[in-house]
Amino acid sequence: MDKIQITLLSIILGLFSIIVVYYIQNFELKSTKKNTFLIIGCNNSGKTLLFNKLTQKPITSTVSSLEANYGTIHLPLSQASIGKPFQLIDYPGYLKYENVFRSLVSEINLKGVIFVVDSEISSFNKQINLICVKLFRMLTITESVPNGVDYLMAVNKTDLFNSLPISKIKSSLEAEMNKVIESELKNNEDDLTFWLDYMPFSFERTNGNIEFKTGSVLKDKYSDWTNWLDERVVNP
Amino acid sequence: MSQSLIVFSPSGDIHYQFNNKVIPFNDLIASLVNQTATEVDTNFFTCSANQKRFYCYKKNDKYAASYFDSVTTIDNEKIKQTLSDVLKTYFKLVDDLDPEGQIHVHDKLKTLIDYQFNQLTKLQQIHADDSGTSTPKAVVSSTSASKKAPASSKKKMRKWVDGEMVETTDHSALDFSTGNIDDSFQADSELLKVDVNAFKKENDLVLVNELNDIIGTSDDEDEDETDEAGTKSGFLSKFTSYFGSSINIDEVSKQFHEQLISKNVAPQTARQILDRIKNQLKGKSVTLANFKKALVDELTKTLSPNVSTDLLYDIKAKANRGRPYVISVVGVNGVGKSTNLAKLAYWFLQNDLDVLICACDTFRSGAVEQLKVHVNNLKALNANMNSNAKIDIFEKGYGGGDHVVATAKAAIQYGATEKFDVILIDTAGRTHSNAKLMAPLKKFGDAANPDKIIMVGEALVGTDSVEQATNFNNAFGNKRNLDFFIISKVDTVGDLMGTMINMVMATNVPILFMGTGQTYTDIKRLNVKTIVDNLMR
Repeated sequence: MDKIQITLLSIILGLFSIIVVYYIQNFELKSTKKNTFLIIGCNNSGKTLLFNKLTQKPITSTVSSLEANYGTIHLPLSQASIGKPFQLIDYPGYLKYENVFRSLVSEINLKGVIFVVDSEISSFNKQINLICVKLFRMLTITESVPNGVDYLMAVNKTDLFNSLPISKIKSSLEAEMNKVIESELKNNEDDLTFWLDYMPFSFERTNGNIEFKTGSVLKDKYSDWTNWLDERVVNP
Repeated sequence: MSQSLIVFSPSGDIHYQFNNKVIPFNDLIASLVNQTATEVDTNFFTCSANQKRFYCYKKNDKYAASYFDSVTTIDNEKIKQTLSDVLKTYFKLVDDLDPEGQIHVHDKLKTLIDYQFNQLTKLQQIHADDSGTSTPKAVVSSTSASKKAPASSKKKMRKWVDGEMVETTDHSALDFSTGNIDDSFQADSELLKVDVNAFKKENDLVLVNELNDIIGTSDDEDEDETDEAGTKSGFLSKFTSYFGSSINIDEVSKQFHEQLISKNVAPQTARQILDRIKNQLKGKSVTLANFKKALVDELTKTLSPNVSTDLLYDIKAKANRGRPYVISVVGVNGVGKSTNLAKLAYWFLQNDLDVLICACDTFRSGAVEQLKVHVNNLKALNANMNSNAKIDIFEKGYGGGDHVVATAKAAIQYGATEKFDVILIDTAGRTHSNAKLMAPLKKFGDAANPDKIIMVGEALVGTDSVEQATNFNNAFGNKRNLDFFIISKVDTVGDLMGTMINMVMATNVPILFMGTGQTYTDIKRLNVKTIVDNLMR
């Protein structure tokens, strides 16, 4: 071999090794963009119990989660044996985690959001502002995607005698959302102007579909919610 | 008297519960998340909420937690020992778990853990007895007293010995009539008692033996684990770490420690953060990317507020109570209290809120005049904007002593009658290490009772920021804390933003705004992501 051949060969080898290293380093990042359904909501609304039931983990009583729960479900649930795997994430409701949560959302391929709402009257009234702030932040992320992302407002704990009816919850959330959007628009310099198109806010105006369905995880009455999951998979 | 014990994992699942009192533990978890719980020892946390004292011990991603009424006093060390033993028991039994004996193991787990917890509560009872508040000991002592009583109350016998009268206590010689039956009865009951004790003890002994076995063996396992983790280092691991294999945590954390310090993070704060991450990643194989992500997440979590920072919403929600929304601004000399106060005022004006500025810096010459200039400027700006909001200044000149409190009170009254929405109170700058200057803050806080107390801190200051934040946070007594920080002069430090981490870590008070320049619009809401990116660069 002459010198030219050797230099050419070494250059090719060098290039090849660089590509291999690059590929190895990026391998993990690329593979994590999974199709995902999120379960979010305020503390003590029943997210973890729903997660445990959907992923068929053993049912225990729960305290507030410190960390997100990751699991896999095969959808559609009606034909789980032939279903495709989807990632299911149950994210704790603490405000402290909001910013970390945002970076998580950018790392997944979001297929739908289950927003669990506690319909018990006193806790609903206490949490209404927080619910709307969370919803506002989440919608700010998802509405920038073309056609948005679909939401299920899972109105939980309807087995309790003092649980609010769905119409009441929807109307009070809409009223509160208006207030929150108004003050958030004043607070932030970020580009939130698209929210102006949604004013006055109603759940029909968003790009993504937002549906309200009642249920009770504790009493195993959440077939409406699983149907919603199945719909997202069967007719995306 | 209420107490409980649970074993849970971070996912929120409870693996073992002593009784059904589970809901109180949510308070504990909230304080763990918000980092308000005090870490007594590595992985051992304590906090109190709702008249309960919580203890929590973490190991291998499982938590054992218990709570007691806050009045009880038990040695921290004892509780830690018990909780760690409970976890060891749990791990030992669950690891050995085979599908057939599942129920059996569960029963065993229950008896063992219950025994440990009962031992602890018994200890607590004894403590209570020592302080003389409960009855069991009184009963015990009365029975023992009744045994002694007959002996001591008896007359002393006198005998004639060698022509002298001698007193003697040896009464048994003449005492034939009394007690024989009684004695035997007492002896009988004593025997019975002993029997019961022995029986109990034997039962306990089995448990104790079993426990000792478990605790002893798992101790050995622990040591093995640490040995294994310590061996990996050297050139090869450095090389492979580049390709995404595991790394030596200590070395990498030292590297990041230096980086954080170079970004103006105080050394003890940097160590605290990295210790937390080391703890988190202990026992797992760690890659450089993993470590970096954990650090980014930790910094993000630290800076993220745990309360709503929507000031406008809060002001609106409290609008109909006949009192303006009072905000007072405190801080060290020359950090920019008045400047940032004026910026805040401008921001409120833009949002159609009527602002009254109260000059409570009655100490430094020119302080009132300075505010007057600001207010005049803002009035002119406001007139240009054609807004309906109004701004005014309230001042009572200079003076010492109670003058500050009097001015603040008068301002609030004036603001209420003139229907202002917001009152911004400027205070005199003070050195945080001078107790004589800090003491009046408490009085001021009690009298003015501001809805929000905001401390202005400058981004320029380095290690001292920890102490500044802590001292100001404690200055308002143990019932009141700072609500927010405004970090000023952020434009002058480039990417050395460590001061923010220092102040937030030390006090858990969130940052509301950053001052980024000289004009009234140079006030920015905190963008956590950009700051963390800056620190990691």
